[in-house]
Order: sequence, then structure tokens, then C-alpha cells
Amino acid sequence: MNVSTFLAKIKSLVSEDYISAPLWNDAEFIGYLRQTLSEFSELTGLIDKTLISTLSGSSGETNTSDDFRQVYYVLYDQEQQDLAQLGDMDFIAGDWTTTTTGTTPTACTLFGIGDSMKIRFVPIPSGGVKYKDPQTAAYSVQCPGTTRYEITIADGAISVTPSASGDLPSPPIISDGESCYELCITTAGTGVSVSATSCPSTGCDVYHLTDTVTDMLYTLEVSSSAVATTRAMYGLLVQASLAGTTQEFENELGDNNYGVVVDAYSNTAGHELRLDGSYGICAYGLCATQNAMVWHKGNVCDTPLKQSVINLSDGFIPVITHGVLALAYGHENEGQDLDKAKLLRDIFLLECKSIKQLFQRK
Amino acid sequence: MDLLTIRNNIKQSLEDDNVYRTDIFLDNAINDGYKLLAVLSLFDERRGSVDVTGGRNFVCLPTASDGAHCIAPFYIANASTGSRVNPIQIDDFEFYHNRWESRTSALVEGDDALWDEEEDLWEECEDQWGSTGETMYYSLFSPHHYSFSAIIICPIQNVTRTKLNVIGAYVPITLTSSAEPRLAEGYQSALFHYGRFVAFVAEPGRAKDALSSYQEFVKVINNLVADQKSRFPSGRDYEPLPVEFTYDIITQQQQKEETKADER
Repeated sequence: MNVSTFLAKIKSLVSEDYISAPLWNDAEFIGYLRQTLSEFSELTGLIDKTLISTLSGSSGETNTSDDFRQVYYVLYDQEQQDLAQLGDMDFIAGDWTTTTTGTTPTACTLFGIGDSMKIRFVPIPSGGVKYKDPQTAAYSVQCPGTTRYEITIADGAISVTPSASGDLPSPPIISDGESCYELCITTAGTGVSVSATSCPSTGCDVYHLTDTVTDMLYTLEVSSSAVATTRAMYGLLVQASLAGTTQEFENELGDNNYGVVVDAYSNTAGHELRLDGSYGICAYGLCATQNAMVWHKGNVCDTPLKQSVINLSDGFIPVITHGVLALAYGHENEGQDLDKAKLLRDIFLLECKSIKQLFQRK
Repeated sequence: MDLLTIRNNIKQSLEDDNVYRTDIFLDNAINDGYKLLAVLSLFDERRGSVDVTGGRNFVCLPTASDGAHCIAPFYIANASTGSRVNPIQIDDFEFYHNRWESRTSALVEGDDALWDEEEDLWEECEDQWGSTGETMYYSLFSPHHYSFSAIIICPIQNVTRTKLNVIGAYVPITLTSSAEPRLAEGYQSALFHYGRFVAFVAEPGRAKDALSSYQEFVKVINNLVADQKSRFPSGRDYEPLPVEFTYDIITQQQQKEETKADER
């Protein structure tokens, strides 16, 4: 169900009271809906999500996503990590607050709350690929000679601009999966571009940059032909159901059941299907080597617009209706009805509690 | 009773209370109550199956042929052997193996036919999986919407064994006028009470009547839940629990009268 359908349903319930000018506008109802969905997510604990991420090579921490609520299970390199309270970290490693590294983390703890939460792994992994802390500015690279340049991403393309002088920077070293390459600057005519030179070093890292125009996160990569490229980190979808029919995705080899989808179209004329964000489950969810996989409680997808979709099964929509009506009737205007507001609020809380118990959520 | 009959019953009872609602309004209310009842009581029990290909841990819940989606499994079994796939919490997968992801079922020790004397070890033989194979486990993941919900199984299926039979609770599809709810007649009164509840919510100053109707709705849910549980006394993977709703509403007028009485 999308938001506009839900609004029509709500208005049919409240407009019965007053047939003159509406007492609540669409923006107010959308606000109540967003608040109710957030509360529903918190009260029921139904929304499980996974986050696969690399760790910072310097701090051993990983960031969390925007709708991060509560961590309940953590893997690193496919092994479960003990999720320890801050006071118990001494039993993991007495010097855990230092930047001591080790082969593989054995435990983790949490700092902060919500989407500002950080997960600190102990010890900081010393092996494998880990990322440099994301930079929104640039990476500095020196051209043969003395000129230094900054590498940034602008609207999806690598951009190279001269930078101010400073200490000689260490160039980014990136792996193409087999060999290591050092990014450097080459000049041809009046143009300047980024190139990759094979190097014997095995100290490869993952380099992230935020696009200065779109704010999208990219990684710097090197292709098998030693060309510096970028890869946008979109959501990954491997299975979708359309009108009850599971859709099949094929790769170039004709294999089924996996793929990356950022846009989808129907062959029916005038019929367009768009996926406006990460949608569905990752059926091949697997904690990658030297990566953390954090299982956490999250939120139902936000619904800021009328065309947004309320990603809940039909059986939960009446619960949301009760919550929205409770907020509406509690609002101070001519439509206020505090008795109804209290009743509907208690019904909403009861139903959320029953759902939480039924699905054995902690 | 079909939807039309339930609607007419609600209409007549509301007229006695001087409340008048359109057919579309009442149909929507009945369908909301029908689907909410399905979630709170898990009454719509159906059998289905899911194909598992590609050797993965995450498997979608089944969808019925009429488009209804499964929200909670009652019993999951390996279609090849009939062996149950047992429910556990995600952090209990470690008791199976500390690297459970993508791990396929290994052999069970004790099967002499599979002991490789030359190699002096138990030889993995995928053809034998399932007959003396390991017990499978699952955990339910994100059941809030069929596109996001999954069961995480461990160990993963051998790719030649590609089906899980799932008996589970579904959320039924929307009723049309001539359609009958997938609910025993004795419990269809829940839809009657919920329809009245919604009508009173939409009516000015009828919060107390709305409360009475919702309380009747809850009574029927609890009777239905008790009936569901009594059919399977040994318990199921997910099962409904009684809905506890205690509420006391004091109208503003009564509050004013009580305040005045106290002041005197």
C-alpha cells in the first residue's frame, strides 16, 4: 500500500465527523504516519536488517546505517563476535582501548546510540582488507615531478585538481583482486588523469570517497587492465516479487537468482517499475572475508511522500491506522477527541505488544 | 457468511445505534478486521513449499496461489526426507558450527559405508545427505513484509535437494462481496464487532461504544486463540498468545462531574 491510499483510508474515517473543510491536512497525516511507523518498529522489533561493512584500519570501528536501532548479533570474517558491555571489555583484552592490532577480532562493544552508534572490534584486525576512514575531501597524489593533485569524485567521475603543497603524500594502493597498484597522476598534453602502476607492495586498502555533487559513496578500484575506476555502492537486491510472481534476474552467463538491480522496467507499454531504494532481502547474504556483518533492529522504510510505499504486510496496516488516528485525535484543533485518542493509543500499544510476543522478539 | 451478509448485519446493528455508514466504508472495516485477526490469532493456516536453489542460507517464505503471504511458520520440513527443520534464535547457530554461514550439511559419524579407509576420514557424500544427514535449523528474519522476510537455514541445503515444506500462518487476501472468510462461522463475529468498532471511531463522541466493540472483538480473538492452541497441544514454532486488553475510559463529562462532586 502506498501513502496516498493510506491517506484516503484515514480521511474516510475522520471525514465522517466533519464534512466542511478538513481539520487535518495531508502533511499532518504523513507526519503522524512516519511517527507511528517509527514507534511500531521500536515496539514490535520486527524489522531485522544486516549490514556488511569493513572496519577502520586505525580505530577498529565500523559505522552504522541511518535507521540503526539495536545490535543483537555480530560476525567478523564469518565468526560470531562476543557482544560485550563496556565494563566487561577488560576480560577481552586489558589494553583494548589502545590501537593494538591482532589477527582477528574476538569481541566487540558499542558506543553511542541509534545511527550515531559505533561498533568497536577488539583487537583491531591486522590482516586482510580494511578501509581507510571515509574522506569527503580528497586523496593527494603526486605527479612525477613536484606537482601534487587531489583526487575527488564529482558526479560519478574521477576528478583531478592541483592541490596546495605539503608533505609528500603516500599514494593510495589498491588491489584488483590479484595484484596491487599504486595510483599516480599522468599528464598527456594539457590533460591530467589518474592511472594505476603495478607495485610490489601487498599493503592494499579500500578507499572510499563521497561524491562532492551527489553525496553518493564510491570506492576507488583498479580494473584488470590497470585502469583506475570507481564503483558506486548501491543497494543490493537479489530477489523481487512482482504481483505474487518471483522475478528472475540473469547475469551475462544466463545464471539465475542473483544480480544487482538499481532500476527495473516492465515490457508493458507505459508501465514502469522503479525500485527507489534498497528493497527486499539479500538471499545470498554472507559475511565476506575480513568484513563485519552486523545484525540489528531497524525501521520500516520511511514514507516522506505520497507515492512512498508502506512496507508492511496488510495485517499490520490496521495497527498503524490505530496509531495514526490516536495522534490525529490528540492534536489540538476542532477535531480533537481526547477519549478517542487515549483509546486508540492504548489499542495501538496493545497490538504492538501482542505482535512482539507472538514473533518472540526480544 | 459472506462479506455481504456480514456487512448487512453490521449495518442493521449500527442503525439501531443511529450510526449510518456506506457499504465501501464497512467493507474496508471488515477487511481490516479480517487481516488484523489473521495476524493476532494466526488462524489462516496453509501448506506451501519453497524452492531452495543455489546453496544459500536465506530462503523466502511461501506465497499462496491466491496471493496470500505467509507471515509465521508453524512447521518446516525437508521435502526429501520429511525431517523437521527446527526453530532457534540466530545466536544459537553457533552451537551448530562457529562458521555456519554457507556451510553445507556434513555426514553423521557412525555410518560405516561412508568411512574412507584410505584417506582415514569421513568422506563427504552429498548423495547421502538427508538420509542420515544433520538436523537443520532455522530462524525467522524480519517478518514485517513478505519482500523482506526470510527464514535463515543452517546447514544449507544440498543443491540437489531443493524444497522445504512449510506449514504456516498467512495473511488472507481482501474479501469481495461474495467471498467467505477463511474462518470458522463461530468466530466470524469478530469481523462484526471490528466493523462496529471502526464505525464508532468515525462517529463523534462515541469513544465508549468503540471501546465496547473492541473489547468484544478481543474476546473472540482469545476464544479463537484458545481453540487454535488446543488443536496442537505439543506447541508450534510460532503460536498466538491471548490478547490482554484492560481499559477504562472516563468521558470528559464524567470527569467534570467527579471534579464538581469532590469540590462540594
